[in-house]
Amino acid sequence: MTRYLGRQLASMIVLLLLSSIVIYGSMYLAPGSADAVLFGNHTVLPAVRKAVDAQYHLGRPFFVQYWDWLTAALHGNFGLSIALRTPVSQRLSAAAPTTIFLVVYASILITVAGIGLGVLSALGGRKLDGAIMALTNVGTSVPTFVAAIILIEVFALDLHWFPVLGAGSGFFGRLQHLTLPAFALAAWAVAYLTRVTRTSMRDELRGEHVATARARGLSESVVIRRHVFRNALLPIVTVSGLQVAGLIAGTIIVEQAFGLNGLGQLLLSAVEQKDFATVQAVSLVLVAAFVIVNTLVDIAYTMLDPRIRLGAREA
Amino acid sequence: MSALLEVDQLAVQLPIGQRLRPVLHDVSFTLARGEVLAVVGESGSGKSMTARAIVRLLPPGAASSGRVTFDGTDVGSATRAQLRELRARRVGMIFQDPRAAINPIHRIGDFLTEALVRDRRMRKAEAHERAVAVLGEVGIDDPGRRLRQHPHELSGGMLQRVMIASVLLAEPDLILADEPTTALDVTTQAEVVAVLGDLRRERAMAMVFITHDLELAAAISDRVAVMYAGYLVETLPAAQALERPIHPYTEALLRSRPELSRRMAAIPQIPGRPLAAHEATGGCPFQPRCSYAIERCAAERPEPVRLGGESVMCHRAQERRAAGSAPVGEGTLVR
Ligand SMILES: Nc1ncnc2c1ncn2[C@@H]1O[C@H](COP(=O)(O)OP(=O)(O)OP(=O)(O)O)[C@@H](O)[C@H]1O
Ligand SMILES: [Mg+2]
Repeated sequence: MTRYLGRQLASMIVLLLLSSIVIYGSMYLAPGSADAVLFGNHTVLPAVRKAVDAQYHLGRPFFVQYWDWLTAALHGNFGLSIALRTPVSQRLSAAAPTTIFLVVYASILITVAGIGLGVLSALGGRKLDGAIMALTNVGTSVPTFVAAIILIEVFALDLHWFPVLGAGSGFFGRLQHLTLPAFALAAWAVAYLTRVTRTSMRDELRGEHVATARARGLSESVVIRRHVFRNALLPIVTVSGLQVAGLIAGTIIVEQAFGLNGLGQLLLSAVEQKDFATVQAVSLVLVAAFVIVNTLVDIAYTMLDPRIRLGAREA
Repeated sequence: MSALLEVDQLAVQLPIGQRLRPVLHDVSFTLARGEVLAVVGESGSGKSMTARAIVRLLPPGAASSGRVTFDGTDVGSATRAQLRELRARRVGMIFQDPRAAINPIHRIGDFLTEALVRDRRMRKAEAHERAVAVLGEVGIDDPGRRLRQHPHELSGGMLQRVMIASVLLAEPDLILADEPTTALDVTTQAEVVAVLGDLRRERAMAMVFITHDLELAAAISDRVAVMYAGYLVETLPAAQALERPIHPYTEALLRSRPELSRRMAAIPQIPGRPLAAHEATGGCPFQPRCSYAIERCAAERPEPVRLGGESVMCHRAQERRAAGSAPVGEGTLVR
């Protein structure tokens, strides 16, 4: 187990390093490079030029620049925002709480509602199953930005239950402001996870080990918990993880629709401003979150299935 | 003494496609305490369904009629709690493929002790001790280590021993063993049958043993029941099953079995195709494949007739019995 965890950790770090190189490199190679953004058509004094190069780690071999950038980033220093002349880390820490709250909120919605509805659908009667399946049909056919518009229209503009814009402050302020965005963000994934859960539960219900459990006179709740749900959990965990990781990209759309100053919004405006230091920083954070969530899912999956654990030991 | 198990006119219909189709027709037999009944018949003849119906473990949407009485209690009208009690403590079931029947996710120890700990509220340590003891009895070395392993770490034969151990732990009065050795290789088969047979005998548990193998059936049981297309066509003492079966189908089964002592060019097959239970028409279900069929067989379904210690569902039962060496018994309808 320790060896397995070590390997997972190592491969996660390699993946993070590779993606950071790609992120840094794409900015380095992009047209409209730092020079062009900073100086435009002006001619610059060599002294100024030198100072700027030092500030933004420019003018030296790629990997030296990259390494400087990375070590600074690991210390929380992403350099100065070229557009605003403020530290990028400040912009990041201003935007991150909204996005983190949104992603966590949506993740809870996805797992609780997705798994809950899926289980109800698999175990419930024909009518309940039909109703839930109809809901998931709607859920999986509505894109996130359409869901956002519908939710704003109905619950913010018509019913006035929730505010239209802004992220709110404090826990309850955020909760109120971010409920609609979280629902919009989670809708598709809830519907999808519901279906996956239902199918997985049904497959297990048909399993012979369930017949054995029943034949042994175990109570129905033990049968369902220990022999149906527990076994059905493997695909459920994989899909939940993928969906949660996918939210990280989804926030860009939802923050836009609800006017939230989160990381997604920051990324978009930084791209517009050609603020490459900020683009690099936000990309790095988003990709790191994605990679870490995926690794956690891999580990969870392996803990859940003893057959995989053996495979890892043998390898 | 009254019988442990009485199955009377049991019929089961299953939803196949849109309709309910019969898979069992008027199956009747009894089982005394400690007695072993072997059930043989081709694939699809309803052996598993008979076993499952005894503990009401039928697929969803199944309909059934007739009566199953276990130790004086009507299983058909048992409440949920009574049914659980029956399954947990009175009747144990062993399935064909232990790899499918034992949950792969949990440890062997959890599988063996879960019924004791969760339903009987036994202390974990005591349940563990019992599990160790019973694993030793079914011939598994190093039980302590095995209990910590997962099913995929054990061979098929060992897993089936675990399955047997789990049934023994429940100390039931009746074991329903549904082809417990079919999924195993030949050498393991014999060992598992021996373990099951011995431990059952020591504990005087009754058993319904389902198999395709008439020879094995005769060896392990007191009586043999032969099923065909959802009908119980013949029930006879094990000693006679290989000597002089009366029903033409049993005779055909006997002739089609591979014999090791005699070298044969080819194993004789029963001509024709086995009938699914719902395909049976008005006459005898075996009539289309029967080499002894007469006109009456196509027109009229025979009722089971009791002849001595046997029960046979054949119009020509008495005649066929008379043709054998045994004296002709008085033919009477069972019901
Ligand atoms: N879940 C089910 N749904 C519908 N029909 C079924 C189901 N299970 C079994 N049957 C049908 O019921 C009939 C009897 O099946 P059963 O499993 O009792 O046969 P069997 O004698 O045990 O056969 P085998 O030797 O292959 O195990 C067969 O025709 C089969 O197709
Ligand atoms: Mg069967």
